[in-house]
Amino acid sequence: MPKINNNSPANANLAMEQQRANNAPDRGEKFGKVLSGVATVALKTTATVAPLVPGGVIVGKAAEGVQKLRENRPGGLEGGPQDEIDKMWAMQQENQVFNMQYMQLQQEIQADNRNFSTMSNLLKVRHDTAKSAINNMHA
Amino acid sequence: MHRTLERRGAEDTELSQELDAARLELRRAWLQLGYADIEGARGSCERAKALAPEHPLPHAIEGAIEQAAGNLKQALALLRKVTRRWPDAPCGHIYYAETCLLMGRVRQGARALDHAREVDHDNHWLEQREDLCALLENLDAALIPPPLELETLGVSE
Repeated sequence: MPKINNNSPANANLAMEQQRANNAPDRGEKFGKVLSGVATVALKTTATVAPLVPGGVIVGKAAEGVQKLRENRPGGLEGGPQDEIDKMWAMQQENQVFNMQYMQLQQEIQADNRNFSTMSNLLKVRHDTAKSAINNMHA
Repeated sequence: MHRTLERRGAEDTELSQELDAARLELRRAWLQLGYADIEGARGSCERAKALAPEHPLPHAIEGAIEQAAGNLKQALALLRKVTRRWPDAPCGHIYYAETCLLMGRVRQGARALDHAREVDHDNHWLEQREDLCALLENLDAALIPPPLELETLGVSE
């Protein structure tokens, strides 16, 4: 069986490739960040400069629109933290739904309380009035 | 002359005693109704009616007892008779209005309350009338049950 020489140039190349592959996510993240920065600057510049160019108003509006989309959807062009931001976003939306449900429940309870109070008062008055009518019964 | 006056006095005393007894029976009936003793309340009310047959209150209370027992169509029929026999007695109109509201007959109830207001000169029933009016105004249309088909149940309009 032939022995593998660790110091051979082929193995050195393989090791470098493996290292490169391990570093790939980091580089991808860095690349994403750089690209995001470039996109932000480009969009801002386009939005600012577009009105100065004849017929560029539409382009400017489009750039502003894309920029707003990016702002409303944070982490759109970033790589790593995007998942966490997405989770936070989902949680926030869920929280809003729960808040709405809670508010609705509170309103229903308040309405029930009001109805109960009205009915309770009516029953009391009804009882008192009947008692009074019986006591004042005359020919 | 003296004998006639004496006889009239005796009759008045007897009438007053009967009225007192009727009042006592009605009080008993109302108390029994409070403890959900419907049969007891019916019995007491019957005795009150026998003691004061010309007074509208025992008849109206009889309707109120049936209403409390859940016999709304019977209560409505009884109270309608009361309002026709004693149109100037607010008690009949009040309990009639209540029964109408319980049966989902809102407009009929409102009309009965109007009648009650017209005849309740001493405002003895003012608070109950006002509460019923408030209830009528705040009624959620979606919560009102549909009117019962009284004709099919053997009760005429």
